[in-house]
Amino acid sequence: CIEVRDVCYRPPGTQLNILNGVNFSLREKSFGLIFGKSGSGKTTLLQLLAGLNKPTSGSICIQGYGDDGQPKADPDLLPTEKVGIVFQFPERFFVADNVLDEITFGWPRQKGSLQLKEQLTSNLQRAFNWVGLDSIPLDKDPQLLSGGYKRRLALAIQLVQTPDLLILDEPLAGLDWKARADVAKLLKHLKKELTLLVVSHDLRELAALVDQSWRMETGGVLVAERPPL
Amino acid sequence: MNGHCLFAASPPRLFPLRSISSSVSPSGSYRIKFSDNVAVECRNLCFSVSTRQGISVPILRDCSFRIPSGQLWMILGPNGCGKSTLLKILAGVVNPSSGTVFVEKPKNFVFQNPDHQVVMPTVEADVAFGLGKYHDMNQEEVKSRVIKALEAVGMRDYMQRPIQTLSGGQKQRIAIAGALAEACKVLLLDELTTFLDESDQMGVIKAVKDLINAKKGDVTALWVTHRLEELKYADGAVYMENGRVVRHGDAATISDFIKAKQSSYIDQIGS
Repeated sequence: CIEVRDVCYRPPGTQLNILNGVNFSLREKSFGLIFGKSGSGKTTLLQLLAGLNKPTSGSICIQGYGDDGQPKADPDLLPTEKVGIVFQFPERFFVADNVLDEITFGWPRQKGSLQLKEQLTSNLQRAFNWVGLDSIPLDKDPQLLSGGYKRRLALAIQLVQTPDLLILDEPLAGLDWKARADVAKLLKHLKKELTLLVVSHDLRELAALVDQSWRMETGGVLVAERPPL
Repeated sequence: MNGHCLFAASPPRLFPLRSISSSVSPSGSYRIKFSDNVAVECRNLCFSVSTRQGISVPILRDCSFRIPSGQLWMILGPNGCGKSTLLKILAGVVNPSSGTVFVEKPKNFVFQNPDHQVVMPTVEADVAFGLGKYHDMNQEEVKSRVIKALEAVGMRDYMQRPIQTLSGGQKQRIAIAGALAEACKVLLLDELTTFLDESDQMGVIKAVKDLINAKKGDVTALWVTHRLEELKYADGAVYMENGRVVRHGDAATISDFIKAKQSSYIDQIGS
């Protein structure tokens, strides 16, 4: 269970908090949704969870619970290497000229052991299966993929790192209705494998997948609320 | 409604070639089924790009359509069908490989990301920014144009507001007001609602619709979108797939066409 406690955030050099006392818990292998008006601080919260910025105050931890529902041991800080994040329009960050180079871009460059190579290859194959990229040749130029497949590639890039928590910022933005339906279906399968936290305005397609949801209100306060519609 | 009819893009129909100069009035022989006033027209438009491997990839294939003045039209289609590329060609940002383009002038292009185009500290200064190139325009004229443009998008009361306090949708409306302040005839709007929440989406599209109605034929808007629900605000639409204009005509007919496609696909993946 991921627990966010009393998180505040103020960008360096400013006088107002963007986030004010954010609290929520997200169960393992579930789908959490954060929605709210443009500019309310949702993306900022995701960046804190991914470790791109540090909270001004408060904590972001992993808390284990026993079968009796009681917490066991002290919570650990959420390790950022176990968090994957896919930004809005992730295809704008593609750097390689083929799919294989794109997905291995962040991999270890030094000579690794055979065991490590086998593990990475296995993770790659599993990630491709999960996102439905099996039929795409590895020498394909990522820029020539359709919009929906670019999103799948961006997901696969994070999934090969076997994150415990995958954060998605507007995963359906800019996609047509067919690609949206495909990605929504894909996320439905993914949440059986790992924990998903999604920021979205596109509530219609995602509502059926949601296990927990919150509204980020203006002023950076998070309130548990079911998605409208 | 005048000028609304549905026809497939192929076989290609020969539109009468219209003079690029807007000072030349069309003669009687141009009058067929459409209104005299044409804001946007393209004919047999093609566009290709080269990949990093040197392969030529066609993006637009033989696109032809015509849009009457004073209406809000939408371009829709699946990702990768070429609709944003088409809009950039109409805006003059990109040159076509072949074919002809006519767009009434002046024209303005409004980008998708609101943070990419509001550049000044206050609303008033930002709307006035584009008028800086008219050196002989006096202060009263600038102010008057700014006020009229903000009224047209429903943002008059925000004139003195700092830009950073606005929502994304409000910034989009400021960008549209900036285009209007230059007295543009054609607004080219590329997926304005992508970054916005639902209420901001409605705010922007209603502002565009209201302004088209208020301008009574003087302004035309062409709106690229992937949100099918926005089609109900349109007068007409162009549906594209794989770089082709598959269908164009009145909005209700295009909407029915897309919904039929959509429901058969969703039935398919549901099984």
